[in-house]
Amino acid sequence: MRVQDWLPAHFLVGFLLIPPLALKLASTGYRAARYYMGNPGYRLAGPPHMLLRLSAPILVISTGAVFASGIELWLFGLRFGNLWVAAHKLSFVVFSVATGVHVLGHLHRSGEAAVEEVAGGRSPEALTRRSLVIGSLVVGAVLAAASLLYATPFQFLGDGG
Amino acid sequence: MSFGSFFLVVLVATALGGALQLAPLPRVGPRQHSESGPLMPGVAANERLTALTGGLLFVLIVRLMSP
Repeated sequence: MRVQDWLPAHFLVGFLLIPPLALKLASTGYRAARYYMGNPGYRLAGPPHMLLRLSAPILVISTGAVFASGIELWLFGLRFGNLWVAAHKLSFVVFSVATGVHVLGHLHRSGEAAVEEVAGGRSPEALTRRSLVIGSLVVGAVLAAASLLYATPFQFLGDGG
Repeated sequence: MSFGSFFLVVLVATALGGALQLAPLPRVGPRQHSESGPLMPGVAANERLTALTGGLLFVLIVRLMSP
């Protein structure tokens, strides 16, 4: 199996993930902003564990770097050099490690929250949340389909790019 | 944007984020948000949305990375 065979799927998956990722960042960012602005409810809910607080900026920035460098490569190919390929790979490695810490740290509480969501029935608030999540996935699918309209100049040239 | 300025933006943003997270905060709550316990409705709604979106992303990424 050659890497270039996977590239079309890689581009589609990348675009599919952008809207759900934006929703996740917006939701988490909202909580962090309310906390730092001193909202009583969010202050009472408490901050994450220190390890998770410290890994959060690394996770957010590496996520942004993975997608920004990926979109740059999709748009311009290697016009601005192989460094963008290195940046994409390096940021993905950092993203993977930070994601591992993040997922393990939040797995228990997030699992409980998901169970509460399912058990909570079909309140208007729950429908709004589910609509947002499904909507982000639909927008991602549209974005992925729209990306097919552009013929990317990117060509994989081996380990060096 | 050149690679150099991209790298600089990433570096500065990470440093700023880390500094913000390290800033001393008064411990006003009885819990950390990874712990179980009652939450105010708006906070609980936000937590559920974050959990749902995170779960969706996790499933998508794991599924898509498995050939």
